[in-house]
Amino acid sequence: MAFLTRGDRQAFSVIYNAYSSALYGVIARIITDEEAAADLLQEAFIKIWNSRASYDPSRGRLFTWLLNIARNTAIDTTRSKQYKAGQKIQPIDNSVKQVNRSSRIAVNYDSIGLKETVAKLKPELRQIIDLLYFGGYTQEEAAKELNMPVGTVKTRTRNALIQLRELMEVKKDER
Amino acid sequence: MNVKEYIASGILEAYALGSCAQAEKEEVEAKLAQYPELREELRLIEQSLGTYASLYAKEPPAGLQNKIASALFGNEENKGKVIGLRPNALTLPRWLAAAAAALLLATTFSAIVLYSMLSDSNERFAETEKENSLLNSSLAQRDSAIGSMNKEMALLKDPMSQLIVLKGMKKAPDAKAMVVWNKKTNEVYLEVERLPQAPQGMQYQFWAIVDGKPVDAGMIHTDSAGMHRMKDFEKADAFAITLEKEGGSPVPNLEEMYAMGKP
Repeated sequence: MAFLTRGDRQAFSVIYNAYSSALYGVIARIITDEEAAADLLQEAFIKIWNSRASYDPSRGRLFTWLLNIARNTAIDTTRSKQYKAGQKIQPIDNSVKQVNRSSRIAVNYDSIGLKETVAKLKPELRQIIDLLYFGGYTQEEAAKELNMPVGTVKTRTRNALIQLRELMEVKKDER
Repeated sequence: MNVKEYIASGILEAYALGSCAQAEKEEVEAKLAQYPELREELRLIEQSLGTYASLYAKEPPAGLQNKIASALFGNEENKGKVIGLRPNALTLPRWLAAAAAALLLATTFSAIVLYSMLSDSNERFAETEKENSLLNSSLAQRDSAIGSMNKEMALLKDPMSQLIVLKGMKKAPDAKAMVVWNKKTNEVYLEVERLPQAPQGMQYQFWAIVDGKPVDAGMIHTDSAGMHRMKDFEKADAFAITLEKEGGSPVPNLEEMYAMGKP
């Protein structure tokens, strides 16, 4: 995406407007304290901006790259000694938060909102996504947490994403 | 390798979810480079994951955009300029030129010595005189030192400037950096004198310890010498340099502390 290489304030505005709510949403799911989440979004954008030359379009979509930076920034915080000392790691709760239907993200999910999607996801598969993606667990750690073999976790991971793909109705020609 | 089996194993899903360890990640990336079917599969996985993640989208607080833009691009006054070297001809008072010439082991620390001659003495500066013996003597370094002295002299001569020497910690006892902190404007400048080469994918990060808490003060770019403007601080108990992964970290890795100094 040319905007990223431009690196000026206007380019930043475009990217912020397009992606900030998705990135903030992911961060806020991992670190529930709003002030901390805002700080982390800033950290993420600074990292994004400083490392923008390293984004390789042939390796994947820009959105994926941005999401990973935001997610990793938040996950790293949960691993820091200070964070662990200061508070328990937020348990992954099952309450569904109100989604802000930002029209900036052009996503072809029609009328499927968060609530509906989550309701359709099999609970044990959703749990895996929560643990791995939002919780930052490795599959081994998830296996310990759920008291099951790693093999089961791996199968569930595969199935979770298969179901997700069905729900998201990902089309091959989608941008 | 059986591509279908590899896809069925769920390793690509784990990779996309970020739950692979570093070694596994590298393995996956090697396979991805080799097999276009894997790349296509990953693309579909990442797409659906991205769509799912965006369902959790949440409006960030108002004003955060400006705050981040200011941090990245500065506001009117603060352009975040790197104060580079000025190896041009300069005019120094004769006594100063003589002093500069006399300092054959000149690096930027000679600026500290000169400052100590100019200003009221401070026990902090006495230490650095001993350190001059560690400095290399090369023509290039001396020239650049004399050039940068000009700029740094201006900074140091300001009575509101405070000089803090960051000394090497256990990780690198020879590490050294210099911080100039203007207490009036809150501007903080960092000059790295000596730091080990950062490994690939890693980068040095500068911190201010404020009320006992480390606060990010900016990433360190060791490819350009001289004084670099870092983030402004109104107060700080100490300054430190840690080694982090490229791009930095919101909290310092205290096991990778390379230098520290107190005002």
